[in-house]
Amino acid sequence: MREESMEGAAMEAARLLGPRAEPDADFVQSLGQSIQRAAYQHFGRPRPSFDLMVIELRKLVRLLRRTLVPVHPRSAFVRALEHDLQETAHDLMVMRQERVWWLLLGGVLGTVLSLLGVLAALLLRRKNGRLQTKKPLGVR
Amino acid sequence: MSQTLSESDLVIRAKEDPEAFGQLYTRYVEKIYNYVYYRTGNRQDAEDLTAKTFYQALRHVHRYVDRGLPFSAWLYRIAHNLVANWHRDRSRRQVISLDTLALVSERPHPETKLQLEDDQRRLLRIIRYMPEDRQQLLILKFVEQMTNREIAQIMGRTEGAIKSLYHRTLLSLRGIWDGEEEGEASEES
Repeated sequence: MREESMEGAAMEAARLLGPRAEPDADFVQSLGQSIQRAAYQHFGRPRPSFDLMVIELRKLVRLLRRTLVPVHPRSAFVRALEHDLQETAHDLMVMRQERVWWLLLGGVLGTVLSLLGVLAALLLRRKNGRLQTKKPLGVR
Repeated sequence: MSQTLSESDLVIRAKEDPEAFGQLYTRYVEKIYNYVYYRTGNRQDAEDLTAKTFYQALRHVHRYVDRGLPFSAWLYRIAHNLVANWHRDRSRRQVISLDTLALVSERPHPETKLQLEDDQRRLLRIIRYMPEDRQQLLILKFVEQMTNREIAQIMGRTEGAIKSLYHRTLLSLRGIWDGEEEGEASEES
């Protein structure tokens, strides 16, 4: 009898409280994220499993592929640079050829001058030698 | 006729023939531009440094010695040095302008597209603050779509070293990305 009355009282209390309150789904989700963040801050981020790491790296590679895509320079820039390079290349060729000619000329001139110098020295020596042989004996 | 010339023959000819140099230019201008663009982050500087790269190549091509590496490796080296000087001289770190970048989105949903663009901007910003060799590796791998072997030739390393660097780069990127997410989350809370 006593048990029955207690059960009845409980049923009555439950009836008075009404239907069971369900928490909002967004609230549960955000609370879960906050708790996870707090746990990460407190205990440090757990080391991901190998499989999870591979999945994350694959995602990263996919993002890299979509981000680092080839870009095209302006065609006007490409054309203008090509034109300028051609002109500069031509000028450089001419300059290099001229430099070669000047070097050759300098080399030839240098050789001729040094040969002339040797020749002049020889002539001078010969002339001095002749003068010495013509000196009278009494001078000694 | 000159179209059928191999690269090394073309380089030999380019030492004396402006037209041959023009062909090398046509072959590599976009690659060099792409490389410089992703390293500087804006079109103006990319154009300026691309032009400087080719002028420098033109002035020194007569001294180029073929060591069995592709000619592009030499060009990338010049571009790399110019970009390094550019960063050093101006000490500027610009965020990549995505206005002109072709953002590839397969999903039409606007929210997803916005999220993707946001992720792309963020990824580019992270890449721009990574060490130079890692930036170079990512650009050569994803923009130029080179193999590890080609990248190794250009960067003057072994293929194994490139694989290892690639792996470390991805892990580092992931780490920075997660670190930023956690930082943002703690700021929000």
